[in-house]
Amino acid sequence: MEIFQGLIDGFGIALGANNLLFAFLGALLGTAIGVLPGLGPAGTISLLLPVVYQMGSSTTTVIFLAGIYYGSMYGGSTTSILLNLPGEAASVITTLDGYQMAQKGRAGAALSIAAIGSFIAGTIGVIGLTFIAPPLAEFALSFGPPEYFSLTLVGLVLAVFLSGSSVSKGLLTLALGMILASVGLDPITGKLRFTFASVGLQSGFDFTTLAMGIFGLGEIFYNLEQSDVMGTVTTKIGRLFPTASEWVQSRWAILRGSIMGFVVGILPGGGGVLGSLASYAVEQKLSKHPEEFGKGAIAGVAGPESANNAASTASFIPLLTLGIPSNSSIAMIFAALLIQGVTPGPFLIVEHPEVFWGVTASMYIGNVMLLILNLPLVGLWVQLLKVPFNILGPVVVLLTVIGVYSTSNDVFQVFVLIFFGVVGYFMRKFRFEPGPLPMAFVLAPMIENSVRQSLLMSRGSLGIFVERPISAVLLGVFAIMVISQLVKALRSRKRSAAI
Amino acid sequence: MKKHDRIAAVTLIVLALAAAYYAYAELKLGTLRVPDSGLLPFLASLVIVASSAVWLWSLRGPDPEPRPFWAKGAWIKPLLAVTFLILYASTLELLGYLPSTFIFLGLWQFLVERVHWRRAILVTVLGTAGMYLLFVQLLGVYVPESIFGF
Repeated sequence: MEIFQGLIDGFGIALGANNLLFAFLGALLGTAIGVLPGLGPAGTISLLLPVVYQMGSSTTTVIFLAGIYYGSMYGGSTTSILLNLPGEAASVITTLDGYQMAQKGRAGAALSIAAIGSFIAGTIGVIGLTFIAPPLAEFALSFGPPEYFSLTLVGLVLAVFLSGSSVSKGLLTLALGMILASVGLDPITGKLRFTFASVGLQSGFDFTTLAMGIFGLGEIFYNLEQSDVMGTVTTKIGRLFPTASEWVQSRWAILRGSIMGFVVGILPGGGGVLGSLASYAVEQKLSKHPEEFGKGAIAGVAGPESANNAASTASFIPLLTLGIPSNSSIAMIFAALLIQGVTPGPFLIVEHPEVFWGVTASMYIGNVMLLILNLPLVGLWVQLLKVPFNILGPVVVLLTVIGVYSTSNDVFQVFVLIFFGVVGYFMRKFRFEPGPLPMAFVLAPMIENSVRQSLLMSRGSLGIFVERPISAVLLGVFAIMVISQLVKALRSRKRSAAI
Repeated sequence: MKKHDRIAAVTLIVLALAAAYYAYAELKLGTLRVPDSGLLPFLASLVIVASSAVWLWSLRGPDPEPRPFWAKGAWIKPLLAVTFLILYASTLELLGYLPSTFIFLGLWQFLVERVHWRRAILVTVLGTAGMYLLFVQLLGVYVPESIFGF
């Protein structure tokens, strides 16, 4: 009953004029950046972090930023289907069959099944969030520093293992994020770390500056190398709704994708990308006509598009219940909550019920908004692709500069921003996935504090991490992950040696 | 690409070893009972050293696809963008927001994007005015003033 009461209260909050407006703006902006290749949800949320300082209400802030995140999952399919160009990473797999459908004059059906699937999956995801998050948060109330250390460790390493890119590069990025987070005054000992006599570095790096540099500027510098970031839409959209037979082929794919995306989304690192890839593989395996995949199979659009939406909603569960961001976009929302003075974690539902229930209820509303925004207005979104990069690029650069300057009134922070922009550029050049860096940056203080507190509690005994059951189970999961990764590496080495 | 990846991996190993030494010698690791400020950076530096070594190990052998780090002339635009951005940051408080933004946008349009001069002037003027109106006039964001008082 408490859940239903919370949800009713949440709708009362989410239906307030201001929150409704920001849910709409978030959904609108999210769809727009999903459509535009080259600027993902993490980059956009990082650009908007300075605005968060002015917003006042933590509930409105998260409603707005969450709308951007799940809205981008809806919009990402548009360019994948029409241009063979994914608007964001989770829509890469949609290009395989979506673009083929467009080539056969079925772009409208592909776009509508992506939007309908996204709506169903998004709604299933929010229902899951409504019923799973409160008991999970209650369970997490029993966590102490050793459990938090083990949970954060597992979360970060799982994020690297599931990201799909090189494990060594992922771990390197994590460690870099931790070192960057340690710059400045150590709050416990009062020692200055890595400041090299610079007064500007004494308070450490600001998350907003780091995120805007790595994701905003870094992306722009990298895109400058590409001659044509935007494509040109020549495909006709055609009839918007799927035929009865296409609907029959899609309905189970949508349901399977929703459930699979939701389960994967709860895991750290298992955001939309992994969900959509897993769904595509399953649909191809279950299909009576697997040979049609890659040639315009509608289930190859319906499943992955549903999965990435369910995953994006599910990724709010570890954030709002455990205080663990599961991907870089969620790490930005984590930082936004901290800016508003709200610490995400198991106490959030008890101490700030308006944030949890308001955001959850707004997701139900946001999904309806996105269905309306994406189906009839698809032609309008396609027009966005006509914005040339010579306008979009410098506008983003100026937004990052004024954003960083306005939060500190210190030009030194603009130089720090440029430094992180260069770091972000070279990370992309050397094929590093920048996602784990902001996650490690926001979680590093929690790791450091929980280790120190645990060791103080145990008077220096490392046994505390394995003597407590929850921590021991989590470390067991960590050990299994590391061993399986080593076995996988050894097997692939043997295989390549045999070839 | 392998050559550049190897250089990057070795550079990271050297930098991480320096960071580990700094954490050990300057910040101190403390004891297990009372860990000091250097413990987390020290462990993180070791992870970087180990990960970079694995990366370096994976790069052994000849490069099957030797290609340059930058395609022909592809480094020019990012380099110009960074240079103009440093110039912009350096002149922001000296000249004020409006003139420095105007110069930055102009340089970007003429030298980074190299669009037609009419389009460049249009984007520079409208872009500067648009950003000023949006942030300064509408949102009331504080920006450094120019000698003309705006």
